[in-house]
Amino acid sequence: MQIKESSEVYDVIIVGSGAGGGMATKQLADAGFNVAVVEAGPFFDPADPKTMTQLKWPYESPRRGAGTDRAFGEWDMSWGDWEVEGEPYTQAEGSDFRWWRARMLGGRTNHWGRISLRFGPKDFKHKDVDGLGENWPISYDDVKPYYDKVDKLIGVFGTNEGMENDPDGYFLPPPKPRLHELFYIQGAKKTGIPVIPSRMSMLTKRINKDRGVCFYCGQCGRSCSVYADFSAGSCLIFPAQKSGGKVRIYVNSMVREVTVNEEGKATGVSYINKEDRKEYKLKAKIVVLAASACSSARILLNSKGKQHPNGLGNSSDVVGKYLHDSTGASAAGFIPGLMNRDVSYNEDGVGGMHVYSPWWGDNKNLDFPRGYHIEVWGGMGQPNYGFGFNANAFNEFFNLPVGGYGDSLRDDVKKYYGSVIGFGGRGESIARKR
Amino acid sequence: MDRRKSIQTIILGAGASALAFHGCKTEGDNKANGEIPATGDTKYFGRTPEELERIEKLNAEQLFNEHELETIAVLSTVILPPKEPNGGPIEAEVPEFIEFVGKDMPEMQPTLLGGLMWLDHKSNTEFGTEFKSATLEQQKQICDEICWHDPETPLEEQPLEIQFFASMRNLVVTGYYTSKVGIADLGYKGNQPNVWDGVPQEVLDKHGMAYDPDWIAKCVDQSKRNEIAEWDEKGNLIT
Repeated sequence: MQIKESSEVYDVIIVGSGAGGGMATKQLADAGFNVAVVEAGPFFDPADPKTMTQLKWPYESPRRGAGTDRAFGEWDMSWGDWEVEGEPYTQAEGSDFRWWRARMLGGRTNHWGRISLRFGPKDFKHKDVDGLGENWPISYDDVKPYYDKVDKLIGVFGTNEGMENDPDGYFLPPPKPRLHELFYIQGAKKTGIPVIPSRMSMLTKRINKDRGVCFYCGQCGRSCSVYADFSAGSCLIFPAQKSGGKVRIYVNSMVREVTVNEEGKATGVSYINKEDRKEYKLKAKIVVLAASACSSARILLNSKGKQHPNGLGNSSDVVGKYLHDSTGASAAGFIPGLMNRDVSYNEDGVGGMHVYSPWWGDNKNLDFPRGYHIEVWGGMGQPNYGFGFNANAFNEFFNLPVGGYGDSLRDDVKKYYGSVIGFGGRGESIARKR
Repeated sequence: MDRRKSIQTIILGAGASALAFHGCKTEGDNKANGEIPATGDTKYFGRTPEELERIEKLNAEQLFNEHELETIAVLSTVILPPKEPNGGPIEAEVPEFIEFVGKDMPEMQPTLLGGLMWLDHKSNTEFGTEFKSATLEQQKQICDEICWHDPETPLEEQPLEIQFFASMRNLVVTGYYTSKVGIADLGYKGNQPNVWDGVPQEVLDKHGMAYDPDWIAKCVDQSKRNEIAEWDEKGNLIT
C-alpha cells in the first residue's frame, strides 16, 4: 500500500490541539503563517448541543452521572482518560505513572481545573535554592512579558498580592468566597496559613466580544458552551480561524512520526487516519510537537532513521525520561458548623475553588523539598451518582448509630448536605531520569 | 415493548402504586438566558455515539426478573418511605436505576442477586411468605436485623445480607436524590445560569460568619461584569 502524500507544503504543522498546540496555532496563524493542526481525536466545540454536558441533570442519564464510561463521571468533558480504547498503555513493574489522554480538539483543556498559576522566580532557579534538580536556562524575568500577554489573552481571575514566588499579573476580579470557603479562611488565619483568592481562567468579566461571561454553574469540567472558561479549541483555535488565519485542522489523525530529509531535517509528519486506518503524509517547513509530554516523546522516539538512529532529537538519550507530573494528596473534613444548611440559594459559583493557600512552608524545617499549595472544595453541589452513600456516616461523631433506614435517612441526608470541606495538596515532583 | 415502560408496569403491579405520587413539579426550572445555547438534545445527554450504543445495549438486556424487580421496589420504599410533596423511590425511578447500574457495574450483581434470595429465604422461614408479600411490620423486622453493622469491620468482611442492605441503601438514597423529585426534596438550587454575588446576609448571620471588607473590595463588581476588562500598566483593573 502506498502512503498518501499531500502536495501542499504548510509553513508549520502543529501536532496536538491542547494548551500548547492551541497557543502555537493562535500565535502562528495570527502572524500570517499557513498552519496545519493534527489532532488524534475528533472535532469538538463546547457549544455543540449534541455533545454538551453543561447544565445536564443527573436524571437525564440512566446511570445518574456515574463514571463507568468516563473516569471523572459521565458529565466530564474529556473523551479519553487514563484508559483510551484501542491505545494500550503499560507501566514498568512496580511503578505507577498514569497519564490522562484526552482525544479531542482542545485536548485536556476542555476539562481541566483551570488553576492558572505562574511559575515564580524560585521555580525557574530552584537548584540555586535547594540544590535539587536543574535550573531552567531562562528566568522569570524572561517569561514575565509572555505571562502578562497570556493573562490578557485567555482571562485569569485573581488578585495582586505582591508575593515573592506567586507573582502578580493582569487579573480579572475574583468571585466572592462561598460559605465553606469562609470557614476555611477563618481556620487558615487561626493557624497562620496564608489564604488568597484563587487564580483561575474563567471570565468573571468580559474580555472581548467573542467570549461570554461566566454564569456560575460550577461546571467548568464540562467545557463552557459560551466560552467563558479557557479551553484551547474555543479560545485559541476558533478565534485564530475566525480572524482569517490559515488553519487547516486534521482530526482523528494519530501522528506516527516526523519525516526527515537526507540532512535529517524535519519535512513533515506521517499520521494514521483513524477512520480508514491508512497512513498519510503532510509536508511543512517546521513541525511543532505539542502532543503532551508522553505522546511528543513517543513521536520523537518513533522517528528513527539513519540520520537519527536513537530517535529524533535524542542524541542525549533523555527523550521519554524525566517525565513527571504534579503530585499530591487529598483529605476531607466534616464541619459541624456547616450542618443543617440553608438551601434557599444557589452557590455553584465557578467550577472549583474561589480561594486557595499558596505554599507557605519553610523547607529548612521540613523533611521534603519544594511544597504544596492547598486547593479547597466543598459546598452544596449537584447530586450525582454516589451522593448519599453512607448518608449518616458522621453519626459516629455524635455517638449515634450509623446505618438504619426509614424517614431518618431523609433527615440525615439534609442534615449533612454541604458540611464537608476538602483539601487537595498539589506540589512539584522533582524530575528523575527514571 | 419499551423496556422502561415494562419495568414501570411491573413495579406498579407490585402494589407500590398505592404509594405513587403523580404530577410532581420541581421548583427552580431553568430560566431563559440569552447567552445559553439550547440543551435540548436529550437523547444524547452529551453522549458520544459509542457511549450511546453501550447504553442501548444495556437497556436491551435484563438483569432482574419480574419478582426481583418487585422485591426491589418494595424494599426501596421500606428504606426510604415516600413523603409529601416529593414522593419516594418509585417516583424517582429507583428500581429502573438499580436495574441499569446492576448491568453497568456487573461486580455488584452477586451481592444484589444473592441478597434478594436471602430476603425471601428469611421471610419464608420466619413468616411463611416471600418478602414482597410480607406485612410492613414483618419486612421491617427483617431489615432491622441487617441494617446496622460494626463500622470497625470492613463491609466486605461482613455477612452477605449486611453487605446487601448497605448496597441497597446506598443505591436507593443516591437514586432518589439524583432524581427530579429527590433534587426538589433536597432543595438544591443550582445547575442554572445565575450571577454569584456572595452568601446571603441571613445565611452568614446564621453561621456566625462575615465577609472581610478588604477581601470583598477585590472581588468582582457584578454590575460591571459586561464591561470589557482593561488594566493600567501595573495590572490594576480600571474598568
